[in-house]
Amino acid sequence: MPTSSMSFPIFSGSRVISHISLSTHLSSNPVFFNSFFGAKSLCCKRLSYNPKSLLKISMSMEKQPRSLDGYEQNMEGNSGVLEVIAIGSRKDSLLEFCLDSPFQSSSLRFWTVLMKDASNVQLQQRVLGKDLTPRIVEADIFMQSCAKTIILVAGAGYGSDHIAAVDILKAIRSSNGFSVVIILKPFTFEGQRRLDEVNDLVGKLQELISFCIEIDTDSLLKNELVTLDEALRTANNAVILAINAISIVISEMQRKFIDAVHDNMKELGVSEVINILGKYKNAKLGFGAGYNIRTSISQAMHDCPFIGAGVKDLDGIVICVVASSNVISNDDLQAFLRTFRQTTEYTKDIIISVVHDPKLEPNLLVTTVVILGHLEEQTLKKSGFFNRLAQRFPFVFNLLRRDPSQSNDTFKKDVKAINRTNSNEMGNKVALQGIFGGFGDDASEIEDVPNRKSSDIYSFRNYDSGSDQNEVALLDGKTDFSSYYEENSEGIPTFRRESLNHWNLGPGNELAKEWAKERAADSEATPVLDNLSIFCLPVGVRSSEELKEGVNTLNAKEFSESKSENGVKVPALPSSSRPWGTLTDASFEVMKEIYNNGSTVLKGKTGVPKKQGVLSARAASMLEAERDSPKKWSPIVEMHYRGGVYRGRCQGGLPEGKGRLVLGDGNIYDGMWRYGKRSGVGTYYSSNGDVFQGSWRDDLMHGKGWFYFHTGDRWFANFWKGKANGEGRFYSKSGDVFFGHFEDGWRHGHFLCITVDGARCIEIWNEGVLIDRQQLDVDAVL
Amino acid sequence: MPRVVVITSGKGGVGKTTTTANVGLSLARLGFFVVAIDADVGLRNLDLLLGLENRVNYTVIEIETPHRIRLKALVWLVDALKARDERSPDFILIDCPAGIDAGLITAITPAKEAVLVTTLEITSLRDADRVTGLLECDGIRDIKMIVNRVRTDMIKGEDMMSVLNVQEMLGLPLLGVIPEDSEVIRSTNRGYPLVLHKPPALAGLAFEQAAWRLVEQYSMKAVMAEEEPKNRGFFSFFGG
Repeated sequence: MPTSSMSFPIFSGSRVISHISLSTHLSSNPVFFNSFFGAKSLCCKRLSYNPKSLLKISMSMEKQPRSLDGYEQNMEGNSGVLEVIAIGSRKDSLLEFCLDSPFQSSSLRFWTVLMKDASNVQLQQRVLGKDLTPRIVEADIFMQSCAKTIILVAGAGYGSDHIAAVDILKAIRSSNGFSVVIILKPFTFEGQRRLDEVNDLVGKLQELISFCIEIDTDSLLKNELVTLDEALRTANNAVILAINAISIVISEMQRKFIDAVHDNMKELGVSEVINILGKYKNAKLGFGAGYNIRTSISQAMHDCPFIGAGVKDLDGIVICVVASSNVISNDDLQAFLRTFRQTTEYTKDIIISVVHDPKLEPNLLVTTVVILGHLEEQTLKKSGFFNRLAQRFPFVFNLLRRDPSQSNDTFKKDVKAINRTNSNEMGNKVALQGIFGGFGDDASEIEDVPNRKSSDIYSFRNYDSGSDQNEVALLDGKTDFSSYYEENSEGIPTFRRESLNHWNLGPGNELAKEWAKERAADSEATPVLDNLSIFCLPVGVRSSEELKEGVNTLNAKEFSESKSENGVKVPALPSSSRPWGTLTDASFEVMKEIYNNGSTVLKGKTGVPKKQGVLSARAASMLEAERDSPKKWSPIVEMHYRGGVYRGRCQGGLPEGKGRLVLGDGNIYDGMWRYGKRSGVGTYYSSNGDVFQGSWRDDLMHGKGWFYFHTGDRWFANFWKGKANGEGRFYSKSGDVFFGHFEDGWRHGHFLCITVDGARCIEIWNEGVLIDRQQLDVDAVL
Repeated sequence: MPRVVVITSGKGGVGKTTTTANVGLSLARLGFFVVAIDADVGLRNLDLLLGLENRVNYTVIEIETPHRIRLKALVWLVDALKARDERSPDFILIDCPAGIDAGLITAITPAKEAVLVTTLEITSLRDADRVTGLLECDGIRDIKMIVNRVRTDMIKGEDMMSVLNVQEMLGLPLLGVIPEDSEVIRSTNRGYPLVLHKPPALAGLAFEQAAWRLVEQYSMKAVMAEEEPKNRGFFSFFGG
């Protein structure tokens, strides 16, 4: 085996890691080995470029000779480095994304084509970092040495780069190498000519390549709530995951198994994989992430729009690559395969490979699914003239959609998510915004404006403009229990597929996540006792100490981080000001900037651009001010109130109307006031990162609201005078759900618990104390 | 049945009369029978843009009428045109005066559709927003937008809002995007309409496209232009 420079592909959540991985790659440069052309001449060239690799080269040269078995020889000699050559108008941004991405592994090298003239073609390597001069290799030399190459066609407009690509592919073909083409199709609005250009190229390349993955970027825009920016990001993610998936399945180091329905799992060698890939030629890709197997598979298959029709009728084979920071045992693997087959009703073979990446978030599973072969084109049942027309002319589609008389059933698929009456609308592929944006992206996420969900927040804010509007906004999360019962003939519980829409996320989810991040960052800097958390997890459960004392305290208590559970709200806020209160204020300012920029633009309109410039922010706030119903004008004052600083409108010396109170200990309330008390819709940001968004009355939480804990759990409950009363729904971060009744802040009555795997049980509580728990049969109906 | 379209903006100087003249001419060149009405009773300009200032026989002011009937003159005129025995016009374009006073109200009364002309400045945006509200109040729901005097270099340099932004803020379908073009000034001063230029001016082409979209009742899609900053990250959908 060649040098130990081979490493597992690293999926990591931090930029630093990707930098490290890249630099190790550069310093331990594996040498291309190709017995056909002799190593010596190659090494000489290499030496002139990278003196550091001198040592490695000499080590590799002692490599044992193998039988000239053609392909295997190349594979082992190459020590697994996968070359990626990008062409096309979007190659620069795509390569930059790939290099920045934490998913990229050290066994990848990225190149672009430099053409001085027709005879002098070079390839320039793309590297991260400005001080590293990119390496330039003559195309001829490259062709001799590369055995595993991916050609990335990033949109049309590649000029004459494709000629170089074709030449390289021919060389690889003649040397029995392995080549893949990943195509990012241009969007339809770029015009038919570009689509044709790319299709022509693909046609030309078909004979030369082993394998082709097509990423249909246009399907991302089908959902009109997806902005161009998000679509591009998803497409870029798809590309990097495709590259990784390929590098995994053809690498020596990763174990691959093939699983057939009526057969045991067998291990596959690399050459067998390559044969299979070569047999099927075409593929599509889907990817997803989730905290359990089911969610991540469902996301990859259903939410990812690249895999249009299902795999049920697939005449081919499926490759799954699963990455996780937990160790995946054999049983887990079997469970994964089972779940996959159930979710997709797929009956043929699956090639599966598992990657262990400790840098991933715990319990997070990233699944990449590559579907090879021919998918039966599922014609939409009601595909009428208008639908086909709509695919041809996007703007006609707009027009037709606005005209209510033309509504087709197919248009329901693109119904705006704001349409709350269809709370169970499955067609939305909006989950793209949910998890996808969460992992793998860099710090620029912080600058991103919360997405359309903030339009729900905005409807919160217009409390005066009609309480029924708010009712609707808060009610959208109402799910009937029946949606959790699935009909599954095999009797094994699976979730009925629902898009990860706002039924369980709540309107303020994005905002709360940002706040929690802010607070987490701050609290690391200044460790502080969490003595003012209003609600502690688990909600509504009495601790045993409480029971003994028999006292139900109403005042603030010193809570330590872990143990005490208390369902009581703290009404009076202490007046001591802490020095880090200003820190909180600053971080809140950041939050509000992000938040305001987003919400002001939205005012009932959909399709939010994620990045707002200063100009449009100003314009948006101006428009918002214009459009507000004219009220008696009162100036915004800043004053001391309750030991903190209040900024907002006042009347008679007391806060009235919209305003924000920042307390010395770091808690912030932002919302409506009446006679100096919190009343109406408002958001409470606590210093530990929890966020409550809902309605208030008489300074207490009253009415419906969403509680977002800094740990990632979400709670939707009805409050009465500060305590949870009535129905409540608790969604934990990992996917467990609790539904039940609260009385006076305690859990009371029947509670339905559904774990992330689908196991259900009914609990009976009495004033915060668990009395009975019963596991439910899978077939039982409540 | 003629399509009665009022071209309005609220703010003055954004290009209503230019739009009326050029879109009207483009429609005529497409073969439609177009009547363009300058509803700015006191300060007329449409004749200058079309080069017809010496051909004006009468204006409304010169006709002896009591004042209040003058306000109805436009409605009568449009009705008369519709009721014509010989061929009635296919398009009646009404060039609206600036402001939101009686002049605007008069101009929009006979109209069923509106084209809102705006630029990418915040002042124009606010006025456009106001006018949209007024139009909707008055029963004109079919409002399309033309964004005029667009300077892409300033948009990229973040000195000007982008068309996409403005479209989203106003929430109106986009009929056309007209780039800033000095040919406009030249043609106004010479009285030689922009769209008749050979070779065609950029703005002229844009007007023609807008006219076509008006006929077909399409609207265009604004594409987000990437910001300038990094050279690496910059890509253009029309690059290659």
